[in-house]
Amino acid sequence: MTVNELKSMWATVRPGTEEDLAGARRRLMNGMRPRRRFATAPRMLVAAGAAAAVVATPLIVATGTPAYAVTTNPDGTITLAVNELRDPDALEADLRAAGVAADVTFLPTDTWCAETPRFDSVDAAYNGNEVLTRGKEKEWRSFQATRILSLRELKISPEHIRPGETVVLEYSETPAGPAPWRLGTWLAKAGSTVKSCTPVPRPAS
Amino acid sequence: MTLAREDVHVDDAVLIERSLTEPEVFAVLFDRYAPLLHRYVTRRLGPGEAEDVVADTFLAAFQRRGAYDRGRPDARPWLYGIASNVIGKRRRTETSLYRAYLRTGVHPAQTANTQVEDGVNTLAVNLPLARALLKLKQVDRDVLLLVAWAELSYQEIADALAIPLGTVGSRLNRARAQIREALPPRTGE
Repeated sequence: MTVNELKSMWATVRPGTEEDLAGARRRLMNGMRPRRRFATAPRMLVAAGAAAAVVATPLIVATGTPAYAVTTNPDGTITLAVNELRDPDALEADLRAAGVAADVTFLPTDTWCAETPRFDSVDAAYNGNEVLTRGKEKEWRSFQATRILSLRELKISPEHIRPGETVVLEYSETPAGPAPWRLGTWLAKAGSTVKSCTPVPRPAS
Repeated sequence: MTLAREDVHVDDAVLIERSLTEPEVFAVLFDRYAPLLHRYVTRRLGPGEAEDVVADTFLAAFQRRGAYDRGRPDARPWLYGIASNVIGKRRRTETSLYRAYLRTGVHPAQTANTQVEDGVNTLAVNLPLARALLKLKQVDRDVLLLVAWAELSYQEIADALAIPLGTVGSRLNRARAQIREALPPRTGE
């Protein structure tokens, strides 16, 4: 009872806004300047793109690592590691060879797909474009079928995918953010066509 | 503000681990928890110092991230524990805030854009609460407010403050007893 009264006390104080926190964020970013600079995948792409433009040669990204890797694990799950947003068609083909029907889209910086919704989702994880709230991870099959292991690695669990369903992956570059890209992972219902994506500017959030 | 899927689903322990080699990833943790941490600190210290405390908390967390227990997917207890230490160094600011509230009946973060708690009933409860909070020992206040305002569980508080679960219980009981004494008697009970 005491705790309830305390919970109500000054409860109208609102969470810090972006503006309230801008200085603190800046201090943190300054304080965590790395001793050495890490080239994330999009940066390497941009650098390679700039070089290609100068010498007018086709874009060749010489990173020493493949753009992505599809690995089938002993437990039947599939690990997808993405290093660069390149060649979605080849990635789809490799996932298909691993037994997963997937639709992969790589989106340029700060864009999302104009078509909303692009497909019928098996659950409420997909609402047309962005994300929902936290806390439904265990309930939604979209999230059981595709578990994000790290910023670059995704585990696909075929046991949660029913016949005819398609894994939909949307990667959107975010070079200014802390992560190299935003990733949306969902499951399209069996029989639902996944419309191709027309990138349009993402509204500022 | 919407979060990207990777923000939603990569648990804090994974983020912290990644931040060891990609420090900028730590900013995801900031974006995830700073708004509510700011609110917690604002309630305790007022708006003037909240941003500084949040920055100090995250900078300290960043420096200690190598020692983070990766068996804990939720970093909130860790962050609130660090914040409690930072707040503890500003205890005079906290007590001044309660005293000012006792004088004015207004929390400084509630003067603009928010509903001011000026109802007679609200003040009848909040003024004694502020008086009681002022008198609590810092360690008891930490536990009580981590329950009430940060909404951590007892176990999370034990983790946050690195104290045994039993100590959380005894501090909370002591604090609640003091608060209960301070509150006006309820009618109909």
